[in-house]
This record gives sequence, structure tokens and C-alpha cells, in this order.
Amino acid sequence: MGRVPDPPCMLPRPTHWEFNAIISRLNMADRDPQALTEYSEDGVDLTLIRWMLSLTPAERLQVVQRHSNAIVAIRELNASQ
Amino acid sequence: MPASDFLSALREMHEGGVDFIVVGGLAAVLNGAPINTFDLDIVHSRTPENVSRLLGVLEALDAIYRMQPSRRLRPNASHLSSPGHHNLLTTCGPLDVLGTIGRGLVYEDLRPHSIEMEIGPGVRVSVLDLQTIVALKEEMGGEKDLAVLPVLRRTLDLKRQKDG
Repeated sequence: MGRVPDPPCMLPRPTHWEFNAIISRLNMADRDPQALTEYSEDGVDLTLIRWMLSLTPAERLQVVQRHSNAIVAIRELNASQ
Repeated sequence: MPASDFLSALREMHEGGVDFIVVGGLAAVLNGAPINTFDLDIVHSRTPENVSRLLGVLEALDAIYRMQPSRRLRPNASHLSSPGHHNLLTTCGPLDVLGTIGRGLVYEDLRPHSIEMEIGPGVRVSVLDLQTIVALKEEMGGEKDLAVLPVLRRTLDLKRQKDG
């Protein structure tokens, strides 16, 4: 098996067990469209929460910093609309 | 409006010896909630010594009130000693300096419900814990609070599972 590529942004590289679980879900996706999603009963995307919890507080700060600055930049680009 | 630089603002306050607790949206993010926020909210200790330290940092950050920014109104010691909210604009972006939150909770009330986090090299700050953030939002019950509560509650559930 080839090397697992580094994930984008600051996603930590999955462990061997996690990687196998992802592949297993990918294989199920053609039979069950919900296989690759994980929402709570009230519609919250639990995968996003798990991802954020996998980061350190410093990494979480970087994520929100980038997101808010990107949104502000997009707003400014479209200020006339 | 200047781009937000949360880390620089927090570093300035940390290095300035200011006693404060990060609350609001950024506290939720630092606790692992996948939400977005554009400002930094803090509750500060309102002792005269701390207000003086905070004023020094705010001066360095060129803080002015966001309301009517053209008048460039600056906070003073009397303002920061009050229980009110100060919505400021700084060189590091929007900064809300709050004398109290919820139903009159002050820094000393929140201190036992905060946790220390390292948010950058050598920068450790106190952050309100997620359980208290959820409790405060449930208590306030405003539309803005209710909108984000499902994400915060699920984050708290998963965090508890993760921590065992």
C-alpha cells in the first residue's frame, strides 16, 4: 500500500485503524448513501466536531482565524453587491 | 475593519499580565466546537491594578469603540471598571471587553469554571469551559444563543466521551 498522503490543512493523519474504517465506509457508500455521513438527531455534523476535537487548542485557533479572515476578505471583494 | 488576529491580541494581554478569561464564540472554538466567530470576547478582572494593565494593552492595540469609529472614542479606567460591555476595534480586529456576562457574572465567578490552554508558543490563557458556555447560553435563551446550542451540546457530549 502506498503512503497515506498528508491531509489538507491541519487534519491529523489517520491511524491505520481509522484509515481502514474510512476505506470500509467508502466501500459501503454505493449501497448506503448515508454511510459516509454522521449526523446527530438534531442535525449536527458530528464529523466536524470529531475533527475539531482532534486538534490542539492552538490549531483550533488557527482554523477559526483563517476562516474568519477568509470570510472578511470575500466580503470586502464583494462589498459593492 | 482590520483582519482578526486573535493570537496577537491574546499574546499582548498575556504578556501584559492582564487577568482575563476568554468567553463567547472563541472560547467555544478553543473547546472544540466547529463554529465561526469574528470577534474576541473577554471578561476581565476589574481590580484597579488589572484595569490599569488592561488599559496599557488596549492603548498598545490602539483600541477604540466600534460605535462611531470616526470619533475614535477610547476606553478609560472608569469605563473598564464598570460591569458594562465595551465593543472595541483594535489593530488585531474586534475585541469585546466585558465587565460581566450572563446574569451579572464577574471574572471571579467565572474563574473556577475556566481552564488554562496553550494557544501559541508560550501563550497560556484562561478559557471558559464548554459546560459553562452551554449553561450560560441556555440561561440567556436569545435567538443567537439558541441557534448555536445544538452544536455546543453535541461537542460537549463528544468531548466527554473522548475524555472518558
